[in-house]
Formats: sequence, C-alpha cells, structure tokens
Amino acid sequence: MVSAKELKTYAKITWCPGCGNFGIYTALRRGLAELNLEPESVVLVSGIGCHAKMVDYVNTNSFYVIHGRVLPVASAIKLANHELTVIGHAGDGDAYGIGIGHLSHACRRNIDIVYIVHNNMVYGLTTGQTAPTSQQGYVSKTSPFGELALPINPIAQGLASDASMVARGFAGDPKHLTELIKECIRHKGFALLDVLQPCVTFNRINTYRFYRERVYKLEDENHDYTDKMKAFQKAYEWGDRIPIGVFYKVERPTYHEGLPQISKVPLSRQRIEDVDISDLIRSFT
Amino acid sequence: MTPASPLLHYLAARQRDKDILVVQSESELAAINMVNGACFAGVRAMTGTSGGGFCLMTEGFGLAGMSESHAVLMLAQRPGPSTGLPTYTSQGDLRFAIHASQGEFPRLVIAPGDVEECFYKTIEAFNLAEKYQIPAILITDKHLQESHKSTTPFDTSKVSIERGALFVGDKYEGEEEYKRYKITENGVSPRVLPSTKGAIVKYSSYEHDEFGITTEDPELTTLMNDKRFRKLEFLNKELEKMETVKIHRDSDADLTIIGWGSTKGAILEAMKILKKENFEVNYLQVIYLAPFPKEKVGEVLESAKRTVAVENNKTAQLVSLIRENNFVDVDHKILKYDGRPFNPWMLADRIRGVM
Repeated sequence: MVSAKELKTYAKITWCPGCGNFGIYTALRRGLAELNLEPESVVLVSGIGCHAKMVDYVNTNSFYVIHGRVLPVASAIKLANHELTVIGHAGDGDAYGIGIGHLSHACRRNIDIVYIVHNNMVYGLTTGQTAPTSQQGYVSKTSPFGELALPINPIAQGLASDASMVARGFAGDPKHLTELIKECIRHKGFALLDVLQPCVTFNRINTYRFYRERVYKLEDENHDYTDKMKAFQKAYEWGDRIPIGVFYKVERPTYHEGLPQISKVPLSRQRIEDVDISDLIRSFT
Repeated sequence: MTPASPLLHYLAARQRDKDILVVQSESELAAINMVNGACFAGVRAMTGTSGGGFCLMTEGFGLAGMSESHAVLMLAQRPGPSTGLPTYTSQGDLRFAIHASQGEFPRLVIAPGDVEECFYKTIEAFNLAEKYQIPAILITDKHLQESHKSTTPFDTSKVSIERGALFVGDKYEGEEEYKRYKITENGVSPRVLPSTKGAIVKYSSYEHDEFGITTEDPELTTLMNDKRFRKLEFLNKELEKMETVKIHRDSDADLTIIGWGSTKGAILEAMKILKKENFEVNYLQVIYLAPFPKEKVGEVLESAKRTVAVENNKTAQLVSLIRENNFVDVDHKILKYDGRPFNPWMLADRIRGVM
C-alpha cells in the first residue's frame, strides 16, 4: 500500500499558487491511497493544459497525450488491459471543445474508466482565452465584447450521452472530492466527473468565493441519482445554487464485459508469438 | 474509410476466434489514438484509412513518434485532394506518408506490391515497429486493396513474431528504477507492460526525461532527439539484409523500369508482352520508401542504361525521392493520374514509346 504522500514524483509543481488543480491533486492521491490501489495498477491519461501536468506529479503509470484525445487513448488502454484502473484527466477545452466528439462515444460504450474534467471555464495555460464552458458574457482576450454563446453544460452532455455515472465536484472541497473520486473509481462503467476548478490567475468570475457561496451537496437533499429526469433537472440548476455530488449513477454492462476473447486473460497478457493462422490461409484455398 | 474498410470487415468477423479486438471508432482521430493507447498497454495495434482519414490521423501519428509507440497504419490511397475520386485508385500520398506530422522522428513506410507482399510485409512492419518502437505505415491503394488475385498460399513457416525488448512478467527487478525512455546505445528503451509490479511506466507527447516526465531542458531535448534517431542507424543495418527492393531482371536490358506499390502487376505483365517482341526490360521495385534504401537503389541506377519511372500519380513522387536520396534523375516518366490503374497493354505501349 502506498500513501498519498508517496504518490508524488520529483517533478517541480508549476501551477500558480492557489490553483484549483492542487485540490484535485490532493483528492486524487488520497482517493488512490484510500482505495489501496498499487501505483502500478493505475494509469492516468492527460490531455494538454494546466490539468495535464498532473501526470508528471503523480507517481503512477501515465500517458501524457495530446489536446482532446484523452478518451480514445484511455479507452484503448482499458480494453487492452481491463485489470488496470484507468483515469482520464482533461481540461474543459480538451473535454468539451476539441475532444467533445469522443465524449458521447465513451459514454455510450460504457468503457469502465473515470474521466475527471478540470473545469476552470477558461483557457488557463494559454493565458486566458474564452473556453467552451465560459459563462455567456464572459470577457476575455478572445471575447472582448463578451462571449455570445451559451456555455456547454457538462452534466447534461454526460446524461444525454447515457454515461452510467455523472458527478460534479469542487476543487475547493478536497474532502468531498476525494469521496467522489473513490466512488467514480469503484463504479463499474464510465464515470464523468466534472470538477469546478477555480483559475486564480485568469478567471476572476468563477472564484473560490463564487463557488463557496453557491455550492450545495446533492446527497444532503436526498437526490435520487437513479432517476435520470431528476438528474437532468439538477443539471440545469446553475445560479444562486450550484449542486455538487452524484447526479446520476446506474449499473449496466461495460464494454469489455461483452468481449469473450478477453474474458479470461487481458489482451496484453495473452501470448502472440505462437498464434496459428493456418486455418485462415486454408479458408482461401 | 473507403478503400481501407475491407481490412476492418475481415478482422471484425474473426476477432473472437483469433483473440484480437476490433473497435469501430467514432473517427480517425479516435482510431489512431486508440492504437496509441493499445501500444501503451503493451499489445500490437493497427488502424487503416485512406488519405482523408490519414489527414486526421497525422496528430496521433506524431504522438506515436514522440511517445515511441509501435503503431501500424495501413494507408490505402485514392485520388485526392479532398474527396477527389473516392472509389478509384492513386499513388498520390507517398510524400504525405513520409512527411506526415509536425516535428522529426523515424518512421517506416513500406509499399507492398501484391497480395503476397501484403502478407509478408505486414508482419515485417509489425516486427520492426515493435523492435524499434517507431510507427509504421503500410502504403497501399484502392487497386491493391480491393482487387482479387490468385496467389500461392502464404507460408507461415517463413515468418515469426519478434517483439523486441519487451519485459513480460509479474515483477520488474532491474538494477535501477525502471525508466521508459532510458537512453541506450541503440536508442531503444526496453518496454515493460504497465501493471508489472516494480515498474512505473510513463509515456509522453511532451519532450521528456528518461522517466517520462516533462522537460524543456535544451541538453536533454538534444539527447532525446539523438536517442530517437539513433534507432535509424541500427534499423538501416538490419534493413540491409532484408528485401527492401526487388530487382526483376532478365538480362542486361537497355531500359530499367522503376516503380513502387500496386503498379507491380501491370509492370510485370507489360514486361512479358514486351519480351515476346524481344524488348528486354529490367524492373526495380522499391518496397521500403522510408527509410529509403538508397544504396540498393543507387547500385541499380548505376548499372542501368536508361531509366523510366512508372507511377500512378501526377508529380512522380518516387522520382523526387530518388533525386533527394541518390542525387540522380530518372530519364523518363510514365505517369497516370486519372483514378484508374495501369493496364498491361497500355503500359507496354507507353514503354515502347520511350524505348
């Protein structure tokens, strides 16, 4: 067993002081440690952005991929070795901008992975442009007169794509977030975990204070997370009150469970050196 | 994507019997990155597409280059640009395959010329990609992909599966901590399957240190580039002994045809037609386009009296590669870029025209 502290690497942390990523970093390491997961059995996959530095800072297996392509890479890792715990990390640009096309497909396939979206509602690494989740009217270098479009609603996207688990956490509440991460990892199937992550440098609207004044926990109000229509209602609650916690969670067969060729041994553990294809060749004669 | 789809159909039907896993991905962006993820997890993986799909795959192809993943890709060419003639044939993507992606990294581009070569060269591509941890492209076209041809049964005793430096076991017990990108003499860093106790496996698209953690250090960046490219020296040595070109030679002919890929069939047939008329020609079939077998090509060019390139494209892309690598031009070009493959009689006519 490895402690949360032992899950750190030698890499120097370059997030801004107070960055919401610290809360996610702490919660992730605590979650992995509390679930007694060996670092060798975990794979983190990241996109590109401030969130992506996470894979350098956590001493587990990892694949630092490219912008928007976390889900195809993470999905294939899971299918090639379903004994691994696979956790994708993406920013809101990765997940809901360039990579949104992959989200619905990972959801509908019910690939058994966790997808943690560090949602700071701004492009932080590239110094503060409007993001797909920036609020309407948001003023930035790329929307100097205020963003015209409505923001993506991550929770509703996950629900409409039939994700088997959809949740939202807040980086300013690492204790609650740790429990959510653990619940997502334990969930058999695709778990979308959108995390409200204050960007202290570039987003002066959606700050720690903004969220602390508004967030409430769904579990405190006896939300029935097996009821999809109620989950949709909660997904559209955004204003004076912002719900966090599990919006929706059901069990249904995962993608890899439908593949008899990997039911006994994961694909990556199967020997290929002595594979026999002579019958396939004979079939042409 | 047409005309690569038959590959997917064939494998999908046999996945349960042969313990392979076939996924119809949502896009080419997903397909190539699923291949990268599968390579990370330790399995062999392949995708197939045509030029338009390969445009989308170039970012993932570069990820394979940087992360040193053994991705294999079958590029079935059709006439472009853009939608072009989607159900016809072409050899217009050779340069694209050789240069696809930003940045510099070693890659394999292999052009089988017929059904038999498709079988043997695919196995070679997988073996070399995995041994050298570089991505490989098998470049074919609609003509080769969707034609039917009788051939002798493939001899599986002639092939073997070589996985290179790959540790498969429950526990890694190296002398030091496992480093995914360890700098070695031949540039190849031994792989360990993720989930092996005692080894943390970190892959990256970012420039990285030996452990796989991001770096922007100038010296380390140089070292890592050199490490990746050092593999080419060793790969080239291995390729010297392999069939990277085929020389179809009957005699000390006045004319040598140079071609690559699916033109092989028409060229061999045209040679037979010409031989009946006592026109003797030689034929150099270039199979490896990257790394380019310049010594072997150079030897043939030096002894050739006159040369003619036969290509199914507008700009004679193999000729440009010969110029670049061998500093010599080809005397004549027979090009066809109407979406149709060469037929032997018309090709024989055009060869007569340059003789």
